[in-house]
Amino acid sequence: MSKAFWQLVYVEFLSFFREPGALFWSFLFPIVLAWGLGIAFSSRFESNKNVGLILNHPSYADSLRAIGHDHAAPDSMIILSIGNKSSGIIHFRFRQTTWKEASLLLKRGTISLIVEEKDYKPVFHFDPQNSDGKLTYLQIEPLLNKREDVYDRKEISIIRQKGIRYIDFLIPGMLAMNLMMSIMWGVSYNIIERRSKKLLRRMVATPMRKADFLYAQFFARFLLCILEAFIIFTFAYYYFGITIEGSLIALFLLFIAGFITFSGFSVLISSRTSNTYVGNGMINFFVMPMMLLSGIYFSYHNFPDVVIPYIQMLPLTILADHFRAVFIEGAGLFQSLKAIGILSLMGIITFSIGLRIFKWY
Amino acid sequence: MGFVEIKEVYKYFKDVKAVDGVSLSIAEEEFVALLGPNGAGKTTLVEMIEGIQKPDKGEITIEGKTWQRNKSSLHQIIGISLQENHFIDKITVRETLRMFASFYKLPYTRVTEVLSLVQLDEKKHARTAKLSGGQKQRLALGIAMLNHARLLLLDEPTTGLDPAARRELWNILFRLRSEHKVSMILTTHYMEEAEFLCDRIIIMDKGKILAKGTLDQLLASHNCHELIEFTLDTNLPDTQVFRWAGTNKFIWDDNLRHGTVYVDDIVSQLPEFMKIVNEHHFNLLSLECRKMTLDDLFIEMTGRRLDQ
Repeated sequence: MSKAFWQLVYVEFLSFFREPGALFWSFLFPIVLAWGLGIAFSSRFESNKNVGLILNHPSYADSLRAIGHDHAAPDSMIILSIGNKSSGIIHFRFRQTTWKEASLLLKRGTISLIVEEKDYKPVFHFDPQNSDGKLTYLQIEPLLNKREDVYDRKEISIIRQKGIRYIDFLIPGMLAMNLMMSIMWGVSYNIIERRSKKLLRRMVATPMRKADFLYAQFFARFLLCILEAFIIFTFAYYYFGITIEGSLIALFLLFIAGFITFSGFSVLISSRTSNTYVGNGMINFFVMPMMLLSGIYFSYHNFPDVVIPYIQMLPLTILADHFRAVFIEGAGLFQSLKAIGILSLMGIITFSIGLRIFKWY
Repeated sequence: MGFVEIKEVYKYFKDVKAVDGVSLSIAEEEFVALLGPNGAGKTTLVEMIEGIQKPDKGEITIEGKTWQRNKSSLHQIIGISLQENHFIDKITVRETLRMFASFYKLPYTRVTEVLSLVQLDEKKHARTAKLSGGQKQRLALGIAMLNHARLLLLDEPTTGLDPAARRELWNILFRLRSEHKVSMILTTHYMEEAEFLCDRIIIMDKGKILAKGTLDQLLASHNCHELIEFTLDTNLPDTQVFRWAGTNKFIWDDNLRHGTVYVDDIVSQLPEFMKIVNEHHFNLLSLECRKMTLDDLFIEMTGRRLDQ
């Protein structure tokens, strides 16, 4: 590689490490996010749920309290709990209210279910489209109708197995998403900004090889992506005990294939515009749907069956699913080859189109 | 054949005739100013010389070479400075020059030389985002000079700079001219810049060349070397009173009550002017006698000021 290439790589590194914001968002923020989500969803042995309670006969409150009242609660609230220390405990906080107030609480999301007492019997009001409301109903209906506590049944056996924690699901997805975000914002935005400042125009008025400029962008970003992934993984390994069950070579090749695919898209997206506002919108248009749909934070299998095949075609979904397969399921190189091929091909095609229509000024 | 040859060049953008049939020849080591207001077509013409834009019609050659077949060799001999100069914010002046030097495969000793040439030695460790407008322009000039360019193309290098910063840049260019073999095409709408730096001035408006020549040639060709400007406290009842035998032209502005008399020689014509003022009992609020400038010439040719 030429002296110009190494000089351009050096400049990219200087620009990155001299920007405190970039350091925070690239290294610290993913760790804080992983830590926060990992803690929030992995260690909740006790949780609270609010329920609206509308009484037509005030004395019904006493029969509710008789089921299992927490005496620390204020008079306007009745707390009933289900579960035990091994299965986790949920405290249902019944808040005595009116229809008007209950409607407001539903809109705010404070409650997802209202229990109305009619002739000393509970009637459950909830939106069946709301999964939380439906779940709350299934949890408290046996309790209020004084049936056996479903969580204390003898046939329930607790699964304790490596790789099924939320954090085990989250970390491979975060690594994939971080790779996408780092390239899209680090390369695409960089190119658009330099075009808008007419720096690209100034550079191509010299004997600089255009390929040197693009390769330097990718090479510098590749090293930064590896550093970012290493930092996140090291944190997850030491703090949450995350390990890689499958092939390291498969993981590395998937990482390279992911890098190729997002690099291709980054060139395509940044190929024409010299307006940073438009560029911002275009990058968001590309990354936002994948952030929401590709099952980074929660499984995309909760989406309707009809859209799942389309979600599985998204590059971030392919990458995150296969990262997870290597991390959790112990997938090897053979199981990853198809994904590596598809991602690389996507990258080569988008890169070729992007380069064909690329405007230097 | 000139060092730069521009033959019947046209460039249209939709309905706008940016460059409309321009022909021009620039000799080696000649400093030429393209003078004109915004939208005159100066930048488009310079961009075509730089090889960034292609002419719709006509041909441009530098040292006999066209851009189509000689891109790499022409990049080696030109140096450019854009109208707006932005750099990579987080890197320093020296790092910026080193990056550009690497594109020309130049040793870092050249960076040291250029830092001194553009008087940025003290700022070499400053990040480019922290530079003033004048310092940014000097850095842009430094980049343009890195490769010992034989043709410098500077697009409005001093627009927006304060007079002191402008003067610093002029001095650098003036020294460059005396010490190095270099040709320069400079676009500007400051007539004093064109006068100070350039051998030849080309006046452009609406994509066409209106006039070209040295400053003296341009002024002489319009046969009106000097002018008397004055302001009265009343309007003129008849503008013919200031058209005596020695005047070339008289312009009167009713709103400002301001008059300009174009004469060949102020010394001989001023007594006649004063005689008319006294005879008609005009009350003079201001009086200025001066030589005609390029700005005046431009107003005369286009009816607009250069900085409009």
